[in-house]
This record gives sequence, C-alpha cells and structure tokens, in this order.
Amino acid sequence: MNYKTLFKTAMLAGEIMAQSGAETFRVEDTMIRILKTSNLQGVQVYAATTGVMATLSDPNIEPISEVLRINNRVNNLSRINEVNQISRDICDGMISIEEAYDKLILARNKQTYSRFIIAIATIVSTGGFAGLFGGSIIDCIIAAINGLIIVMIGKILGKRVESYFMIDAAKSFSIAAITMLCTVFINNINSEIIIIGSIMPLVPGIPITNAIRDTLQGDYMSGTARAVEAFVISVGITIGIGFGMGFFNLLERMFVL
Amino acid sequence: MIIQVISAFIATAAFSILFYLPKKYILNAGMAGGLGWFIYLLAMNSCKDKAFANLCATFIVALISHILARVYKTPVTMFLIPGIIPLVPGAGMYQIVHSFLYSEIDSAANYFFETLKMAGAIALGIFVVDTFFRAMINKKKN
Repeated sequence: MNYKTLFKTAMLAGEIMAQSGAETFRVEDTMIRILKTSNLQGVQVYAATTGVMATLSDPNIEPISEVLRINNRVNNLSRINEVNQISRDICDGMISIEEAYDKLILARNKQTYSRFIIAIATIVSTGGFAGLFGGSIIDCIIAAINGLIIVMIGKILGKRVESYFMIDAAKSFSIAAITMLCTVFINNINSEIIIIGSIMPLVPGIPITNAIRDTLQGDYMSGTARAVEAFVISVGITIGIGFGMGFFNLLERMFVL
Repeated sequence: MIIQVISAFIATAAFSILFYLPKKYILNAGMAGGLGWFIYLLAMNSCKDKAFANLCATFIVALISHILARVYKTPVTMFLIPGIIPLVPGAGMYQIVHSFLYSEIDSAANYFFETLKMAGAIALGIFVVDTFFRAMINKKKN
C-alpha cells in the first residue's frame, strides 16, 4: 500500500470537511478512519476550525506528518455529505485510494447550485421567514425585496471587502433603512417582522449549532472559536440594524423639523 | 397557524439551499423546520414561555434529524442545521437593538436575558438528544 497517497487522501478529506463547516469530531473521525485502513500503529489526528494536522507512523516506515492551515471557510453541506460517502466507501473497501483521491478533488471543485438559484433561495427564504413570524402578504413581499437587496450587496461587496463583519453590517443596515422607509409609504405593515425575517439569512446558524455540538463533544478550542464566530456575526448584524434605524430616525427628524 | 407552519417549511427548504444542502434532502430539511416551528407554536400556545417552547421544538428537530441521518446514512448536520434555523433567536437580537436605540435599558436587559435563555434552551435540546443517540451507539458497540 502506498502510504503517501493514503495520507494525502486523508488530509484532503479533512481539509474539505473543515472548510465546509463540519463539526470538529467529524473531521477527526473521518481522517482517523481513512488512516486506519493502513493498519499502521501510530495514527494521530488533530483538527480545529482553523487548521488540521495528522501523523502516520510505524516502527517499519518513515513517519509522515503534515500541518494544514484552513482559510476561506464556506458552509457547504453537500461537500460534507460527499466526503462522508467517499470515506465510507474507502473503509468498506469499495474504492481504491487513488480513485478516492480523484473523487475528493472533484467534490472540492463541484458547484452544487448556481448563483441564480442561490439568489432565488435567498429571496424566497426571507419572504418565508416573514410569514413564519406571522407577517401578512405585504410584509412577506417587502421582506423578499430585502432578500433581493441582500443578494445584490453580497455581489457588489463580496469580492471587494474581505471582512465578513462589514459585509453583514452593510446588509443589515440596508435592510433596516429600507424597511423603515417602507413604513412611511405603506400603512399597516409590521416593520419588526419584516426586519427579523430579512436578517435570517445572515444569522449564524451553522456556527451556533456547531459551537454547541463541538463544546459538548469536548472540543473546547473549536467550540469557543465557533461561539466567538457566531457572536461576532451577531454583533455585525445588530450594529447594521442599529445604524439603519438610527439613520432613518435622523432623516425623520430632519424632515419633521 | 397553518400559514405560519407552511411558511416555515418554505423558508427552511429555501434556506437549506443557501447552505448547499444536496437536492434530495431539501424536502426532508423543510419538513424538520416546519415541524419544529409547529411544536414551537403549540408550546407557546400552552405555556407562553419562549425558552421552554424553544427547548421542546429543538428536542423534536434534533430527534428527527438523528433519525433521518440514520435512515439516509448521512451526517446529522444535514438536517439539524436547517431545522434549527427558525428557532435561532434572531428576533431577540433585533429587540435588544431596538430597545437600546430608544433608550429603554430595562427592556433591553430583559430581551438580552431572554435571548440567552432561548440559546441555552437550543443547546440543551441538542445536547440531550445527542447524548441519547451516542449512548445507543456505545451500547451497540459493547
């Protein structure tokens, strides 16, 4: 068996999983399972939200180890699913390591949904969330328009601004400002429901869920890292809403005076 | 209430696309979200406590996610994350800011603790179900 290829495959699997927002214990478990197929004695894996490292050793071979820094994390459940399937196949002996490596490369580069579908999904989900919180049809429509604006801002700022914090703040700023403007022109709309519904796509659902599961699993490093991530995102959203509503307040006062 | 549950289904299903959930699981994730919100509304009707309602709903969502994950042989995250989303206290965040902006410090503190309680309830719900299923796996291994 070629241990180098096996090791490379395990590292790649861990990298894709950690980048796509898998829980830390799942990343470690997947890598350990793949490395264990070598039947060597020394299998050590350590994963965190921002990096992965592993060592494969045995009295008879030169130990292999590698440290990998994880940047650019994007939540992508279908990649987690695919890597999970590939690692299951490796452990069951269904595919060879070389095949698995090629499949992992494919999985990493695969685009599950086009940008257009993502945009539509954002619009539908903001509208749907306004309905979920008990909004009327008009509320849902305004929330859907906010969804469109989130998509547009994401497209404009996404490549230029590096910090997610500022992008989230900008998005929630425009949501709040536009919703408050709508309250002037349209009667009987519930600005609270619209704003809450519209910020839902920004709310850190994956970091919160993973923070809980990682912490309870005993991975305190990743747990706290994700909890801080969730907190920072929430602060970004709240600052944006605060500025948006404050901005509108200022305008209102200027026009009244 | 039916309208709310249906929109919870639509919202969760659309939302799971934002997380790049594979196509074949979208309907299941939507169902988990819709059911979770249904339980939340039921619990809210009977006891009017948001944290408790969140606990019940999270419990059911986590249970369903674990069962679905066993059925489809996929990671639990596939269904748990979309299902939890309607319960995440986004409303609490808004209300904290709103109260702060209008200098209602008392109600801001109130909303802050309520939001914390709701987040804690979600954590507890996931924790209980996770532990239960892990205990089952460990029992099988022995």
